[in-house]
Amino acid sequence: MARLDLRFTDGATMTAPIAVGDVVLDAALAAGINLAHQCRSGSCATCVGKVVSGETETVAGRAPALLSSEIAAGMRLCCSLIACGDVTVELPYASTFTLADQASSTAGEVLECLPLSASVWKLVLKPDPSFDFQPGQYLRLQVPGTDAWRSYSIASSRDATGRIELVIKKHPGGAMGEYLTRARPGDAIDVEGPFGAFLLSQAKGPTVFIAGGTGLGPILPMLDQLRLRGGRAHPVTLAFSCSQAEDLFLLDELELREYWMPLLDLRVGVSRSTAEWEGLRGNPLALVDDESLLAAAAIHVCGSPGLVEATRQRCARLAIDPAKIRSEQFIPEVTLAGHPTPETMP
Amino acid sequence: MSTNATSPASGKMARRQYEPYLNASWGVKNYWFPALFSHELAEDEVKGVTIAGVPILLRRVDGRVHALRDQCLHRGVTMSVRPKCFSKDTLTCWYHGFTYDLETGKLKTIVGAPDDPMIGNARIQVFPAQEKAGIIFVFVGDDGYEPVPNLADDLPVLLPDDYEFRSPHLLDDNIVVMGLHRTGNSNWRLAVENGFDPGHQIMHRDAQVILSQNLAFPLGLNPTSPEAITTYGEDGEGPVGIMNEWHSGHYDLVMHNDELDLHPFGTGSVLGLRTSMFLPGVLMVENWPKRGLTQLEWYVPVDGNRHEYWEVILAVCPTEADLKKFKYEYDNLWLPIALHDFNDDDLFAREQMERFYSVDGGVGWDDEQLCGMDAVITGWRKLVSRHNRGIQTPQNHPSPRLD
Ligand code: FES
Ligand code: FES
Ligand SMILES: [Fe+2]
Repeated sequence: MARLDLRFTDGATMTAPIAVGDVVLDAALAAGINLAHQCRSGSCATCVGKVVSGETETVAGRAPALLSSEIAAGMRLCCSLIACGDVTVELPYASTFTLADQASSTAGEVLECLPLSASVWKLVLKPDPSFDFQPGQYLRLQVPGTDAWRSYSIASSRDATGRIELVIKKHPGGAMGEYLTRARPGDAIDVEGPFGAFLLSQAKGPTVFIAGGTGLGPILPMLDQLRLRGGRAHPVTLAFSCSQAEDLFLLDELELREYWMPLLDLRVGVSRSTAEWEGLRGNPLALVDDESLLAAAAIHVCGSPGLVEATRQRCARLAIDPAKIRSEQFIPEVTLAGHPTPETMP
Repeated sequence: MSTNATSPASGKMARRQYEPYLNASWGVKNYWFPALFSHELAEDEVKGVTIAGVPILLRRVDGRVHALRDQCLHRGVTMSVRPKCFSKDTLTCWYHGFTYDLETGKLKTIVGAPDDPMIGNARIQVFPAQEKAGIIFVFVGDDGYEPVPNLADDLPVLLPDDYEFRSPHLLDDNIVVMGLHRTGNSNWRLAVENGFDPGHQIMHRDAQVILSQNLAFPLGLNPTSPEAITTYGEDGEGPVGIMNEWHSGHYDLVMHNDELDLHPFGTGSVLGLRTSMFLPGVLMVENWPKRGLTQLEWYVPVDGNRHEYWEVILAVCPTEADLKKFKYEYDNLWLPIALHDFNDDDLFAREQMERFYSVDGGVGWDDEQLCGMDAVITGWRKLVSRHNRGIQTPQNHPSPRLD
């Protein structure tokens, strides 16, 4: 086996094994690296890259869609490029392309800011018209008037054009917590994104979402994506808890989803006992009490690091393949020095 | 000026319950839709239709109908506009010769480039097709949707034989279907909602089919209890739909408007007249245009602004003589006075609504002011919102490419 190194414009390098005599595009795709391509026969030039080291040949019998000047500059078509040993190829796009849409930074604008519950606020931004994202992804934004950057998952549906909604836990001491109370429509806000690979599983079959607190945010657009994507509908379970009843938020939106999706089993609970709450009790993981469901489903968990870890441990005990668990964890802004970023595990 | 109508804000909230329906401007997907009458597609003939924005090519070979996406992979041209077939099991695009397998949609060869690596590695979507009672049905939706539901699940409910006033059904033995289809210039939902709107009797007041049969067509039909309306399929079994049980006694039949001193002139009634609407948008009018017949109507979305309006009349004709009589009555009576005179008014009404509700900036879905007569319409919208197999996304510039 030889080694294929793929370099992207964001500085990232991805590596795939490649046999001598194999086609570069095929080796990359086989390794799960989704390089840009279309015709796979050398005529559309989508797969263009630049060979920066290593010996290569081109697939015989094709007239590649490259100008002589491009060939002289080392440009090759990955679908028609054969490795004779270790090869390094530069691609004219960022590595994020192979995951999802490209991130960009834009100037956003605050449209609305309001409390949803005792501890959770909704911040609505107006994005650049070209902004697009995958449900589950997050944004980084600079808290206006400060130099602090914070990351929040996008909680609105992908087709809610012209607005991005974020659900934010308000920490009294935090820069964002403090900003929420003085936010005004029209405030300018710098935004970067989208980022993240916490994306909806493409597996057909039941789906489980485990959401702790504002971990519900990215789940909402994922639910819409699930509802609108093609193919037969399968059962969906959404377990959502906050610590107290007065912290719960967006229950009306959840009830609508439950109404629109007859196969959605919605379980809402609170994890700290309060006298007046008559619903379910427990953290969101505890609300999923049927283990056969966990074993059969694609699992998506979003919330505190503790919740994510507990989910992984429980699944490990049940001998569930860790690859079936997708997770995103949030770190509250007050416990963090510097720039918190949701950590994504594949 | 003051008004009793609801404020736009509260209207918006109420409408969120059926938001999926409001997003279904191009129809629902993963359903059986009528594409052509069987007699419209002769042996070896190729024709193109558009259903929910999806261009579909139909070809009949050895009696069997094949349905493929009517958009070439290569440069996207519509293949049915110049049909080319060099063998019984393939279809060739007239432009550069991309040749597809009829059964699988796979690119089998390219006339002038038989060694191209794309051959065998690319395909266009094929759609399940079947014929029933003289109609070609095509299952339109996601590639690979399975299992493909039974046609019976996408037709009006098959009532048991002893159901009160039951009238002929498409799946009955000896069923004969006569009718037509034409394009209506309105969104399919306006057509559906007109089709079983219990409130528009006034529009049909002067219709030939009413006057010629001396019918006392009520001025209005207002539901008075939940039993007025039956819903089907909410348990996940069989067709999903909603029925106005007009014979049930749970409707207030308005026979007189004092203010205007209006009343029907006729005196007769149609026993068992009953309307129901099922997904994907098929109307059943039992005992219409007369007792013992059934009228079915489909409103097949073409795009966001047009629908293919199917109007057919069903009769059970066990003998040659029955068939002859039905055909005679169809040609000379039901076609002109029911499918045309009466239904022309319906088509007119939908097209008149189109501007208010247009997908191109219409405000109707937000600003309409429904009243008491419209309960069943709201019921229909909610039913579709909850129990659809998929909402079709707008198909303005769709790709034929499949992964
Ligand atoms: S994929 Fe088209 S040239 Fe390589
Ligand atoms: S467009 Fe059909 S073969 Fe080129
Ligand atoms: Fe009508």
